[in-house]
Amino acid sequence: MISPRDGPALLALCQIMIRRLFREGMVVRSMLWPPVLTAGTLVGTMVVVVLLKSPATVAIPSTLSAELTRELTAAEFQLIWVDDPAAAVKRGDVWAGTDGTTLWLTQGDGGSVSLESIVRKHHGSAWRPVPPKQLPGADQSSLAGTTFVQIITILFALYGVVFGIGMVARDRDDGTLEAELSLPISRWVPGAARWIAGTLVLSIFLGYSIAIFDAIIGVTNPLQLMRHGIAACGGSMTLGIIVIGTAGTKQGFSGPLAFALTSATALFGVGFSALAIAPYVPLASVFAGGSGWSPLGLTLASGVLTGAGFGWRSGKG
Amino acid sequence: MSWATLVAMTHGLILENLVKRFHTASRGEVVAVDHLSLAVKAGEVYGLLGPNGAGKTTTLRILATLAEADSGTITVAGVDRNSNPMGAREVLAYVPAEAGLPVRLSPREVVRLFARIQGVTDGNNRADALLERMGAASYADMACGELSTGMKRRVVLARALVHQPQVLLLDEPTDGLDVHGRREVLSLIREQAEAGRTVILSSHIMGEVERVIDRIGVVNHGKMVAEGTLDEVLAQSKTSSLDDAFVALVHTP
Amino acid sequence: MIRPVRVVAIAHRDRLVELKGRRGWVLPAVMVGLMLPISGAPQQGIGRVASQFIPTKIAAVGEVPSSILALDGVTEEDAPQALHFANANNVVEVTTTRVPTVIRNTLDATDPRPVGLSIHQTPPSMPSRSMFLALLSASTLTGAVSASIGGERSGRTFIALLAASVTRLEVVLGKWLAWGGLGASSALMAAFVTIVLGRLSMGWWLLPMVTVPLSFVALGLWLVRQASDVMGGTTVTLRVLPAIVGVTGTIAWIVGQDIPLVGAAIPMGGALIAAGSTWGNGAAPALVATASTLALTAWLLHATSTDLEENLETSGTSARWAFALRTTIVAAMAWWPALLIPLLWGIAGNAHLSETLPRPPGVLAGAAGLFAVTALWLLRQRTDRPRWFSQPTVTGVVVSLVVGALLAAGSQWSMASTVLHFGEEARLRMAAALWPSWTGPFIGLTAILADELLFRGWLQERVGPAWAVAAWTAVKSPFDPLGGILQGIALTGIVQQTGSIWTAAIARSAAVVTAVYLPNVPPPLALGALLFAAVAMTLWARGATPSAS
Repeated sequence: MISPRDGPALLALCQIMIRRLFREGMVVRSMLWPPVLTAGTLVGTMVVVVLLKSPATVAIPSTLSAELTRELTAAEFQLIWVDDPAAAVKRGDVWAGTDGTTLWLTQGDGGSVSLESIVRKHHGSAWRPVPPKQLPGADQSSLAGTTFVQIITILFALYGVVFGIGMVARDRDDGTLEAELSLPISRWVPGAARWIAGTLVLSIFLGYSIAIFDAIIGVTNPLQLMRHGIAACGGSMTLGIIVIGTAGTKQGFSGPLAFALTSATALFGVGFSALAIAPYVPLASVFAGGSGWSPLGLTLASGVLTGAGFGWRSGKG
Repeated sequence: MSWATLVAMTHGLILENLVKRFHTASRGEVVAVDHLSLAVKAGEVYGLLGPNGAGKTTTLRILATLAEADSGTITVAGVDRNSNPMGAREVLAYVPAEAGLPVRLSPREVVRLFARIQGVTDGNNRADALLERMGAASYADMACGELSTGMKRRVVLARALVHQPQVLLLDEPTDGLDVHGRREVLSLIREQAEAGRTVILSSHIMGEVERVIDRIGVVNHGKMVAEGTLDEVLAQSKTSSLDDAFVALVHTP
Repeated sequence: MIRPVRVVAIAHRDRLVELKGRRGWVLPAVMVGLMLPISGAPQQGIGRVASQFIPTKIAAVGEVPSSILALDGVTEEDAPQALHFANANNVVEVTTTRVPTVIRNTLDATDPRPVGLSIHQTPPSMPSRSMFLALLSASTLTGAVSASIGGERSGRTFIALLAASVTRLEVVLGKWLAWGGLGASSALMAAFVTIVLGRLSMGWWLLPMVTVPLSFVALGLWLVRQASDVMGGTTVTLRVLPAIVGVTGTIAWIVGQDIPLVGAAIPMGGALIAAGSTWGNGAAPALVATASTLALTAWLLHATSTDLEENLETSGTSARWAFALRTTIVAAMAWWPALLIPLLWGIAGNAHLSETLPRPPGVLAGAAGLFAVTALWLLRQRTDRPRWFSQPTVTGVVVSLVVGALLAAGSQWSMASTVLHFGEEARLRMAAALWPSWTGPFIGLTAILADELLFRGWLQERVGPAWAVAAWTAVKSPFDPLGGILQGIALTGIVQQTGSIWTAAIARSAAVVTAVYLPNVPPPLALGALLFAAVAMTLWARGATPSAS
């Protein structure tokens, strides 16, 4: 059912919803929190690393060749001469030890690539690891930045669930929804307006977060991540609205929220476990990769269904 | 016995030089209550009248310990509200303009729960009896979200009276009610005064309150502009009806 | 004075309000549905599920040896985390941050001169499943906790509760008991199942396990004490609760590896880790963790009760200086991270990352941040179309162009006077982003517009020219305050006189363009140009209607 008034009404309601969301300090702070806090955490971490960075101490025997010793010194390893490097590592006195043919480490082999590379090169091995000049990737961007964005997308998707449930639940409780449904417009309009406004606001802040991360650490294919992100935000809005819509008016907020949050988390889990379908499913696709067009299309379709379902449900009273 | 103690004993509520200021984004500092003083005896219905934004609700909220005044003293049924807000809450009941009933609970549950929260012994029976007396027994087990405004108002009154308060503060008690509903609620209010309670009600609708009030205080911009019985206020304003008196007293050119 | 009967009544009311209705079983069902499988699953089952989340695929790219490609799970793929293989003088080079064991073993097998690798690592003490049960019992209550104050406010039901003859502390304790009690009992039930099925044995970990949901709910109530509705409350709990639990938990776990009692003493995190029986079955860590977390819980409940009002009075306008300070902090947080963090990366020992990061997104992200700050303030303040958007006069444009040229000369003095190397780095980074890339003019214009909208437009309107100049200097010119102040005064003068921010934008654009072609100006002359611009604009603006409200 579509009436000529629906278009302008949808626009007006969207505008009202967006303004309302922007005027809610707690909501806005929540959405600004991911880029600001994560950026702040990064600054703090780096300052701590700069101030407290412990030197990479390497135990070597006095018999180690002068050339290898020189190379290790040039690579800024702090050398400590001992009789038995293996014992020094075992005691925890040093970070690593080598006698030129064997490498003893205290913390697994992560972070010791440059030490191993020098030792292998000097020993004449047929292979050696090389520390990346920057994190490797198809477009030379940072894997770490991409991971940050993926984690933040989870948070935004969970906000989507809250927005979906909250925008219907509170408006239902304070009578706003009833007033909207009494207007001479189709019944799908209030639901669709909430879906569009919530998805739009979340996408704007997610986009800003991605821009920040691309600038400070680099992310792989930000536009692709953005597509997955919008799909996740819209998908979670759909989830929230459907869950609260089917819960009925005599139901509190906590049950539907716990159910919707669990469902959203389960969908993210699908991204790890069902790799064949995950790239096409909103939320699951965040970790599954792919171009992001399919989940985005599905999310837009789910938005239309949300409006239709909302209209149908509210028509039942 | 000092004069002040005597006054406190005979009066359900004494309020002296109450001042409350707000800071707002659009108007800067606003004096919501400006050196307001009044005294209401036990068994008396006092109408706190004034236009919207005159400071009525703020005054009632301060009396109900929901907001703090910048200065002034308040005694509620002999209890100093400023030094003993908890004691004051024990002897008063506040009925806000909005019902504020949990939409998913029934009136019976609401009133019974409030009886328990207020520490009323035999709370369930008293709650049921109150609902009966308020004429709410027929819908006591429906969800509050399904009740009409008039029904909700009765439930709210039952909730307020469940701990037998000595002072009843009613903010716009007839707001949103039809003629029947208004009459019923006003007669319930009159009953409370006749039972010896001190009742203050705020309203901006003149005609409906003049039937139940003993004395009137008209406030405007937080200040008391006229006070007394209906006849005294009419004399002060040189008018013949409360509506006209109200317009004359709060008129701002 | 705490009256248990009233506290219990409030708790009962809260639970009824939230869980009544035909779908009231949903929250308990979600809790049971999540916790029961974890309580009862055999250890191997948990390991199998966990292993699903560990990637088994290894992507390799470049000159990948055939022995590597023949391995199970290795695919030739240019993925972000792929190992890059290259052949340099018959030596295979693997570019990566970590060589997987299977790759290492394969390469070593054909290496005539392998290097032995021996790792002496004490495996860290890991928490058992009871930690996850404690965490689940708490986290499923996020919605209930958020609704318990915000929902009451938006539903107008809070006022009757606060006006009742109960203390604020009793109200808070009732709400805490409602949801903390539910969390604690569900945790206990899950623990019971785990013990009965023989997955874990009874121990002191039960104490901190019960403490976790109790403290989680107390923290949640404190976080949402000012929430006006469920949505505001939930967005706060959803982001802050996991962060606090995660950070304190990680710290407690790391510290506790060496000194368990110190780790246990960290509130919340200590209880969480102790709930997992991470530090053995001893009583001391469990008791210390429980005591420290309950102490925090008590403080949180008290703090919530002292800050619990029925409606939140919006303080609206604060003093000008406070508003300016707040805006300055927010603007600095919006502008600087994208530009400064890459520099910090370099200082922290990641020069390669810092050098290779693209620069334009930094300035764009900063400008977007400033736009966002302005837009947010405008939306929140319900301002109509600002009058500082008005069209400038021809005289205004001409004066702006002249001032722009003076500012360009002055900027050379600013560059020369910069004493902090760090500031110059940041400036160079900005310059690299703005010039000579073809996107430079666009990015530059975006940054300029963002600045003028915020500092000369919105902020000048709200707090007046003096505070606006101070904020501008603090945010955009912290390494060269004098230059910033003079530039700010000149630009403010233009806007004051013309009543439009477009003139300031024109002046700054002119300054950027002129700066590129301007030959070196001696520093005194450059400073003179800046001073002249500032004084001239101040004099010109005298008599103009102040734009600050």
